[in-house]
Amino acid sequence: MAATSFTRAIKAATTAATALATVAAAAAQSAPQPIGIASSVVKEAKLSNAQTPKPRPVVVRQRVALADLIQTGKQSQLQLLLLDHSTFSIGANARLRIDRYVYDPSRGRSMGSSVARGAFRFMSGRSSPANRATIDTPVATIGIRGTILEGVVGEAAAQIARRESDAARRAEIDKAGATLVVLRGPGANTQGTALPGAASVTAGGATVELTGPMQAAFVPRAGAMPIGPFSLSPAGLAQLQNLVLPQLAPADGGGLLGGLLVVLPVAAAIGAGVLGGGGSAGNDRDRGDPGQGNSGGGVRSTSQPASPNNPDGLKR
Amino acid sequence: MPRIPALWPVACMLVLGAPLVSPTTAPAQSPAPSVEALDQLSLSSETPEQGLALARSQAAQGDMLEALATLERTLSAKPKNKQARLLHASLLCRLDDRQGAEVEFARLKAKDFGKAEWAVARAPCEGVATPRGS
Repeated sequence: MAATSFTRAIKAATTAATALATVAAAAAQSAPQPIGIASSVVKEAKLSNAQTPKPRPVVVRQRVALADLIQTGKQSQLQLLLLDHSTFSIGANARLRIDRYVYDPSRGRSMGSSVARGAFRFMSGRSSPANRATIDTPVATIGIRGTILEGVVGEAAAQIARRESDAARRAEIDKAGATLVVLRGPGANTQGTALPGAASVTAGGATVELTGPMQAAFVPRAGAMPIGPFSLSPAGLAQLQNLVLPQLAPADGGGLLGGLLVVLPVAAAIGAGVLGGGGSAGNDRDRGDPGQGNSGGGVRSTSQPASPNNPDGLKR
Repeated sequence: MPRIPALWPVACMLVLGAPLVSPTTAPAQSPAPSVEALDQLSLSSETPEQGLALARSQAAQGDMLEALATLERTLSAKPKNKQARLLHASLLCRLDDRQGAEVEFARLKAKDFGKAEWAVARAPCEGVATPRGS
């Protein structure tokens, strides 16, 4: 009798263990494959997905998978480190999702992502000419080829762009989705294993190519063509930096720094297009003003003079 | 052309983690990707000292972008670390992002660094040829 009870108990335990193992295996099968980790988190960042719709705090080295939505809070920032060692950093009040990610060390990386709002920086990891990435924003698609790229989605994009470009000042702007993109590099004279970077900004049926550091493009609203390329000024860059990496922002918010940078002769020379970036600093440097040199980049549609009905100066 | 300080080799070690011979060949064969390797990278840059050492090592191997990402992690935890900020600015020069580097240099004070250290950090932005093997 005792032996029978013992056998039953063993059977029950075995059945339970098998069931648990099956559940665990099923969970493992359905668990999304991690594509990277949260490599740094400053202040508040939350993650949600189909399995966990309620956003939960992100901790350092937390796994991140496809379709995870990452949101940051006020004065916060986060860096994602992906399997190919690319990094995706977002600043305060940002929303980021990686929608597609394929990495084969021998064949390169392909990534599709979306930034719904906030400032971001993408840096390619292991160099490969085959690397491709796209970032969708509410109004534009950014194509990246081995690069350091920064941008911002929302009202801050409009604020910076309006100081940088006459055409942006004249444009009708969607404050929620307006997108500013700037190519940071690497430049043509980069050292090491990094490859010179390039990016494209597509919106409204037109594409602007960014091919040199500090070349920028601005998309004011859905359906509008990109304004640019124009050279982002040192002050504009400092503003963008403060948004991408608020931890590094000076205590005064960069106002004084921005003023100082405007008069820096080296920076001014660079802004004037010494690096092939475009027109002269402080002047119109965008496609809304044809005739200004923009030798470094290009747009795949014919430009025409800006007008109130055509604020970005591009043929529709 | 600016005069090269006598302490250049030492400064190179301090700022950039020499050797500064610029690798132009393809990166070494990459190990299989894993999140555990990413954990290690993250753990290796938890303190400013670790982050600086890793970034210098990555830069010396020619992995400028990875070095930059390492410093971003370090600076997100310790944004006032001057050595990390100086190396960050210098790396932007080496990536030919000179205007970005100038923004970073403008946020630093030369007097906070040794003359040679500052000169070495700025050299890639000023077109100064870096001594081979230093």
